[in-house]
Amino acid sequence: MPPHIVQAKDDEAVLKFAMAQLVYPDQFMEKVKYLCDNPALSSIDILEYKDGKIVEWHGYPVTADDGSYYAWSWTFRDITEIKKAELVLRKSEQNFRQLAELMPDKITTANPDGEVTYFSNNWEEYAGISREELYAKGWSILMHPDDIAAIKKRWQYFIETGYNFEMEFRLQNKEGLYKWHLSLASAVKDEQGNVVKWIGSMTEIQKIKEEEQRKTDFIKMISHELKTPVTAIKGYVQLLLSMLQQQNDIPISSMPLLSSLVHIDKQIVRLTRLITEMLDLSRLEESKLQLIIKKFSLNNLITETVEDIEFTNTIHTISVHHNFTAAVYGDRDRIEQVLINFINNGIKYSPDKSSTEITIYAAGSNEVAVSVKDFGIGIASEDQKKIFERFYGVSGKSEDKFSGFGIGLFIASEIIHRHLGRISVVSEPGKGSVFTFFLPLDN
Amino acid sequence: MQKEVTILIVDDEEEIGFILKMMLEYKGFAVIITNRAEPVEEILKNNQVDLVVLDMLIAGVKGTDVCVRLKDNAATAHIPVLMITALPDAETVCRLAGADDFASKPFEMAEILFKIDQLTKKIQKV
Repeated sequence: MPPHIVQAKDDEAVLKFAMAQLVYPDQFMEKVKYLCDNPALSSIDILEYKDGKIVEWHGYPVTADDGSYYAWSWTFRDITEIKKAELVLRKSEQNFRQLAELMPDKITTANPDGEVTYFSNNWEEYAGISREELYAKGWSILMHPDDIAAIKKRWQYFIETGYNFEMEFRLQNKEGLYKWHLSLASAVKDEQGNVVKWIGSMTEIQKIKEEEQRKTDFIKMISHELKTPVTAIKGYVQLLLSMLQQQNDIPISSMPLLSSLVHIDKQIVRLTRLITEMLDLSRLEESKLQLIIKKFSLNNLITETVEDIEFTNTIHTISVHHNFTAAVYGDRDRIEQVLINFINNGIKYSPDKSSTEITIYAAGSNEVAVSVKDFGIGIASEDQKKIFERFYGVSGKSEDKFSGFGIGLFIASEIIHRHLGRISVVSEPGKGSVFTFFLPLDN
Repeated sequence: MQKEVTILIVDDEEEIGFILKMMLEYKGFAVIITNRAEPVEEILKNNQVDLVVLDMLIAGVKGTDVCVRLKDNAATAHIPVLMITALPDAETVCRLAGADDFASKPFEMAEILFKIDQLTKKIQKV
């Protein structure tokens, strides 16, 4: 207030000056009148100034010894900075909520005691229950029974120490299925280092977990599959060596030379196939599978491939039906690989049947199809989609006659997709399967 | 003259079973071979077997389970079991299952013969 007004000791002038500064002078006057009529009241009001200042106005009645009111004490405190900070805080809280609602993760805040104060809407979506229910019952109702004790222990430790919280556990979704989550939480502290609240996030990592498991199984299987032929080869070589070193006892002619070499050769073929599959897989993963595109006759490719297979496999008969003649643009060797994979699968999974049918036909006006039909064990419908996935078929099939990495069909499907084609399977358990690939016809 | 030592090989990988059999027969052992876990007890009951060579995975059955079964059974507990596997880090599991010794694939024939020799000697001393 300017000194000349203060020095004038003119209440009227002070009031007038004050009112000129205020955003809502009428409200102020009303309050002054109200207080005049009710002298016993104390009051707190916020005054907004035109220049943006915010002032807290406290009024107290001043009493004489006989209890009568004879004056007021009015104090004014500039709280502009406090209010601004509050506004910033509210804005920041709003931003936090918006961010929390946007994120695919489930976000939680809790008070220093660990009691949850906020669940983002992803919680409702995931669990299929309302936030009210979550607040009432706590999110522990979603924990897997086997995880509860460990979570509570870790959470308690986290609350007590204030260290960052990181844990993997399962939470039940709205379908009642438990999915793995990565939970992270950290403390928000004030300047003195006291915990003000906790912020936590839950990220679903079920797919990563499954992929990890498949990779672990796959590596185990590689180890198992590769070591078996190596063990056999080593065995035969060491047996022959040991016989040769004691030549005096056994004449060379009576050593099992021929049969050992046949076994060794068979195991080397098996080893080579496994290594080729592995290399193909790693090349696919690095996207280094280069296609050498040339025009070639699909009919000739089929005829030649079948001749090659029949040369080494005299038990199975493969019949070929050329219902359509097509030349396509593509990588002949890679398409041959797909065809070999289909035929070998047909043979491998038909232990009791001995015929396979290959048909080439026009599928619509834009595509040519090649189907390989076997009469083997077939594939259950729930497995039909998965067989084109990487590593599928690896676990649980240790029978020698179905050995392999279970990546042949994954590689085949990748090759066909890179030719802009598609791949399909029709199968019935116990009756057999038809694997078909479709390639675009170049017009 | 020394009594002939009989060895039972349990491995679903026919190639492994076959080469082990050739090797052991060449070294003077009598060999019985099976590629399934189910008939093991029956074979042990009907034959005088001195040692079992047991694979860790036999057509979907865990070799360790078979080993536990043999060691829990008074009729078979005394027969030494040599477990073999291509799986990594499996020795502890096999030992816990009661296996007397362990060899990982691909093994050296000399290693297998040495271990069989030790296990059967121990038995003969007893």
